[in-house]
Amino acid sequence: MSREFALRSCAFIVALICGVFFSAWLALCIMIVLFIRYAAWEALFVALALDLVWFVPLESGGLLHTVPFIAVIAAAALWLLEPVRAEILH
Amino acid sequence: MAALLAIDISTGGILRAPLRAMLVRVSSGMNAIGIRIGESGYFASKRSLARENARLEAEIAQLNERDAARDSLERENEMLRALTRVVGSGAGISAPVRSSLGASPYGTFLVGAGRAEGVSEGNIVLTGAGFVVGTVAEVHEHTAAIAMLFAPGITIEALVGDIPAAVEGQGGGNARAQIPRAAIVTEGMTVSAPGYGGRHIGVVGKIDSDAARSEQTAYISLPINLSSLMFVYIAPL
Repeated sequence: MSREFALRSCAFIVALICGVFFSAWLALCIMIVLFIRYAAWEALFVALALDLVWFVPLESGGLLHTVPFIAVIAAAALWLLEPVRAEILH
Repeated sequence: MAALLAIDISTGGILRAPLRAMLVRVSSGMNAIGIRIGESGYFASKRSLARENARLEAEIAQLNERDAARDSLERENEMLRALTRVVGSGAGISAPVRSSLGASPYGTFLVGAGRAEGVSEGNIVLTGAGFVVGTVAEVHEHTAAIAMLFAPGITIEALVGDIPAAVEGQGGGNARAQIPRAAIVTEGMTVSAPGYGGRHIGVVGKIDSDAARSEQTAYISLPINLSSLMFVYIAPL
């Protein structure tokens, strides 16, 4: 088992547990830190799972309650941090 | 990922429902394991301290809640009688809280009662003292997702004492309202919502008044410690 696989697996599990039992913000921070180093697409499934558990569309709630923003932020971070990753890796 | 979300939303929660049911089961299981570990005596000294701490915190929360409830009785006796009639009629049910109240960025939490137990969308969720915590936003077979009244981004029309104000949710059971500076608002004043049958939704904790501004800010919170909330009462509006 490579070091990268172990680290990504560990981050996946920690982010999922944090997001479900403690704070989704903390899970999002873990994902973003992970994205700085790896193109960790699996973290998007954590974001999706958290949105499926917590997100409830509310008509009266404004933007926060109409967009599943954990998944949106995670996907955007994965894409936007690509240049940073490239800089670190090379 | 977007396709999965779209499928879930278009089917009304084909993925959400089993995921939430699984989370509720895991949460119940973890509670049971925690109780067994605690009872085993393995963490005896830590356990007794934690138990004492939790007991004291719960006692403080209970006293605060009782204090606010007593104030509500004195101020709006008629309204509370109406609330007591609703709670006493047996129309609602008690449900266990099955998730952390602080984990969701959307101000939602899960309870372990659903359609099978008679919960339906739009029902209101009350604390033991009759304060409205939220409304039932989505119902599954044995679980329901509750949208907290003071969720971030939610604005509701309320009465701070007798003064009408738009209360903006801040998350974590906190909210704030802008009130004309000429209006007399005091700490501990109860806040009620006509849209929720005139029930109480919080108490004024702090008032921020600036002579240079025409309005004062009232910081409102629920008179309970949300982390100690283990059961809620779900009733029709």
